[in-house]
Amino acid sequence: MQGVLTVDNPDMIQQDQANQMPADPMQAQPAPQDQASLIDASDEEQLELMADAISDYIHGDAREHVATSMANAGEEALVDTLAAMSYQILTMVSDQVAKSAPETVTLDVLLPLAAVTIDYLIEVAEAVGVPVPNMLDVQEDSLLRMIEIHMAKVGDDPEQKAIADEMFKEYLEDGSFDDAAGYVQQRLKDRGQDPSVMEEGGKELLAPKQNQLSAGVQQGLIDQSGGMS
Amino acid sequence: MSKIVKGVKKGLKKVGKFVKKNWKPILAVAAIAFTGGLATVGFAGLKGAIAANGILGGIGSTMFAGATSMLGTIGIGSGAAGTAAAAAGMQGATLMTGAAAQAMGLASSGLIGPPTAAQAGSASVGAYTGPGSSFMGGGGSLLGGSSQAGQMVQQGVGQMTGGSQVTGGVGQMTGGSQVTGGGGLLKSLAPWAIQAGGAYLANRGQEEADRPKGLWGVDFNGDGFEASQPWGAPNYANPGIAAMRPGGRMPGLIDAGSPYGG
Repeated sequence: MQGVLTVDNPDMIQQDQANQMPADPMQAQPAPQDQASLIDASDEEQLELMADAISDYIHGDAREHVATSMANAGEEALVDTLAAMSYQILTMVSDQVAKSAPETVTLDVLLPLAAVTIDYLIEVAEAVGVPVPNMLDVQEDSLLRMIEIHMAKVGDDPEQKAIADEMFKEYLEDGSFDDAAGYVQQRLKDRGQDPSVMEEGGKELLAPKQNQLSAGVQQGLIDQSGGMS
Repeated sequence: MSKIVKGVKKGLKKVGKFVKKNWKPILAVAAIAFTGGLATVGFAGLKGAIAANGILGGIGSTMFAGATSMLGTIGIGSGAAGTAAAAAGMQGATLMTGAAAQAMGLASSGLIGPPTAAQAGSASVGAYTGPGSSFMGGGGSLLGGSSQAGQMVQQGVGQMTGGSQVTGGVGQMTGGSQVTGGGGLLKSLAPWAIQAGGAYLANRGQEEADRPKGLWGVDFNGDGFEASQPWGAPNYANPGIAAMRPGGRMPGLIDAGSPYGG
């Protein structure tokens, strides 16, 4: 088996996939005729079909490879390995499906698929004795790390940025953002972290304290205001 | 992969049966952090945030930055009246502070103007009570150039006042019935800004209300209200200012003077 995945190899998605994975999951399952039925199926059926194919792949042809990777990763590198491996599998799936059903390759499909993929990989990790002390933390961190990987891949694409911008507005409008922000705050508390890091970190991202020019402008305006009062 | 970002909203509604229950909120966080991060701070920003605050904290920071940039909400609740509105349970009012702040900041580009009555609604109490946050609301760009920053803001405010027909007093503006003209980006901003100001800010409203308020949190006069704005912007938070005159200034501004010649 080639291409053992470890945290030392986070750029695996850039590597030749053939060297990393023994077979394409969508070539193994489903068969071409199943691809056609997949396109016609309902959204949830599509997800289930693709999830079944991924499960068969992880627990079948790729099991030895996955098990070795997980064992090598251990608890310390579990999240990074889960994220990298999941993303690789999802990339392969999306590329394959995009050939016949490009409209299927959307984030709404890939995110739930990522979730179940991470779960399948965790099953293998546990089976080979890798401790997963806090499942929810591992699930969260793995998916969010995967998002980081994905952003690195598409982050410079203006078309993707424009789409993301529109979608983000929708989240703000329909309350999704509120729910998600509340969830993150609560989870930070659960983990013993200060939820204020969200706000402070966000401000830092937009107006870095290290930006002396900004700080100078701000201070100058404050000084002027002080003179007016 | 060009369509890979699209469509997550409907997807999140249908994955309930498909994925384990605990995944659903995580998926929502991932999608929102991704879109907010991509649109606002980019990969480098997200990476830096995660390095500084851990994965979950970094994601939270990215979400906050995205919302702040989109709505112009740095300085949320920093306006005294906005704080009062928040304390009174007017959720969303403080967020509109940011939306309006963004409008003010960007008005110099001519792209946007103040909201129409229908869009402003009751939340406009916040929209017109926190000009102190407008600098930050305009985002880093306003702070990006020293003397230009003040100039931009001055122009922005000037265009806003000049191009609008604000015929009512503060009370009328609160009702959202007397602010006309403009539109543009804020047309689309206002409805979702009002909604988005709900749950997320609700748990912060009282906390903000307890703080002394002012420009960037500085209470110059020690009375919990913002000081006069140095660039000649109208201080909507001051209930003593009755009206903004079309194309002109507010009386209080003339009294206060302006370093830019006002």
